[in-house]
Amino acid sequence: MPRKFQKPSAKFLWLIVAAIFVAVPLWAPDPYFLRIFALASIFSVFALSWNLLAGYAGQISFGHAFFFGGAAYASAMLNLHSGIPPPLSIFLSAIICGVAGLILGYPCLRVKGPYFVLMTWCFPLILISAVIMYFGEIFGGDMGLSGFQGISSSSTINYYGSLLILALAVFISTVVVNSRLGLILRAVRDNEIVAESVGINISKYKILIFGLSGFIAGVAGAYLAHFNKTISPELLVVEMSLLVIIMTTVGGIGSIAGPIVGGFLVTFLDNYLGYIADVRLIIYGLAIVAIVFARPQGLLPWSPKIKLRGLGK
Amino acid sequence: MIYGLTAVGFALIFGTCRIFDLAFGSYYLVGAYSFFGLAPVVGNGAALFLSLLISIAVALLIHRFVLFPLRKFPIRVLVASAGLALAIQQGIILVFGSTFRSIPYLVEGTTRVAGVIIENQRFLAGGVAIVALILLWLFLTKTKLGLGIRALEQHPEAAELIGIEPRTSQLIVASIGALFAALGSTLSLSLFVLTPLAWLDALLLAFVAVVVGGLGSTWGAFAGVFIIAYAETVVGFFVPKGGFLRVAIYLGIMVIVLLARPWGFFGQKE
Repeated sequence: MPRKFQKPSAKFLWLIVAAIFVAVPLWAPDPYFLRIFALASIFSVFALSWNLLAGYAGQISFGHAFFFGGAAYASAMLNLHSGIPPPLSIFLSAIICGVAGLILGYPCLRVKGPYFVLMTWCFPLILISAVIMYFGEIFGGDMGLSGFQGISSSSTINYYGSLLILALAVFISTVVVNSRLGLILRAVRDNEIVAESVGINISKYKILIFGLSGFIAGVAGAYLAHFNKTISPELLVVEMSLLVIIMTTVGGIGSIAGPIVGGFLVTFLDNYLGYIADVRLIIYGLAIVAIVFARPQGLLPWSPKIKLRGLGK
Repeated sequence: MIYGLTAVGFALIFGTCRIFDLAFGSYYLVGAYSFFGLAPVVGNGAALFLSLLISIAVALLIHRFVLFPLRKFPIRVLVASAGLALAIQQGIILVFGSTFRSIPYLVEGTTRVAGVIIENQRFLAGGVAIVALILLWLFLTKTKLGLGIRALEQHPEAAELIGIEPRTSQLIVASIGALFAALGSTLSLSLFVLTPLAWLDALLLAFVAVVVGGLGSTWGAFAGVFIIAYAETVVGFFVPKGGFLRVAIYLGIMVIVLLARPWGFFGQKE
């Protein structure tokens, strides 16, 4: 089990990493570089939220873009039409996502394995087709929305903001994982029937974690909306849901450092492989197959070897 | 009807091997695009034959080297096949570009039936679909191999015990699945447009058909397609801008079925 993070040396490592992150703007004030760093943090938050659901509770969602893109739209709408300032609108839209997660969790978590994948897969597509396209005049349709407020004009502040939500996501993840809830979730992941037979109300905990995961993904999505100052249905497409799975799997599913490493790796590759952007998805696709095949626990040397089999029959 | 072929192919792979193959849409896509690329070069008939072969070859490679070794780990199957599907989609964008394409008609002309003009292509597609389904039915019920595959579907361990090779069976099933997917796409996509993202639609439809029809029920998937196709047409006709609601209809039907009758209309309660 991922107990290694609780050892003092690991804590020390975390501190060093955190210090480096905080110091980044000091030695690299280049706005472009800071922007990529901020994007990487945002996607790491997204990956952490997926990991909480998939890596710890064993519920593989193929539609996490629903929360990510949904929150981006919610926050943009709140800001555009009600003039709510970004920090508050981010928080509110994340709450909306959390509640949506709780509500959707109910039908979703009654089904298992492939059916769960299927259901989650459809939600962002529904949001695109039945809301954003259907009410195209309000939600901007294909063109997306813009003209709402950004976080700040300073790239340093934008960066620190993204760092703040990353820290928040790490904090929530750590607390959840080390709490009784985390223990229960791992029990559900590893053997649902046994967990149920010792009196755990597994549906309740699954729905809870679905909502929490939706909340964190919502923070990331809403922050991204105000960071880019523009949104489009691109945030909800299947590739976005798959991207977060790729990030987490690359770094290591079922750990806290894994999704962050994966998020940073993939985001940096994304931006520096710009000139071969067309082949990037081919590379990711094949890389993910290789990783799933040869090193299902991810690239991190100390990632825990969780059994990735507890799905379906 | 033609969608039915694709859905049956998916149901076959999912039902017999318990493999949730997200790369299934790629066989559909590969078939259509190789037909598109080859038709001007070698003519329609040969192109159809070759594109079916290419599609089967892709499916065999994927199943032999990736999905078969992983078959006991459903989550890894999902992630790996999703990765493959993405890679293939992007590969096709790289080769053919991401613009809309239309596949040439296999047969030209239209026929008037009871006052409605119908392209001959539709007749061909419907006919091929019926023949293919009858052949599949004969294969599954009358040949030893087919019976073995159905045995694997019903009780994997027992089937293995009496000497049914799971690897061979999975490869056979995968080829049939790919064949059906490619048939479905080459026959139907000349009636619609072809984009590198078409695999998502095909996959989604196949998913929903399988759920509605019932897990492991190959024929249920076929019936499932009819149910959702009619629902889609009815909503598209009566609701303004209903075209946008297509995915919502799919999911709506699926959610209702999953909640009310999780084993589908034609599946068996487990």
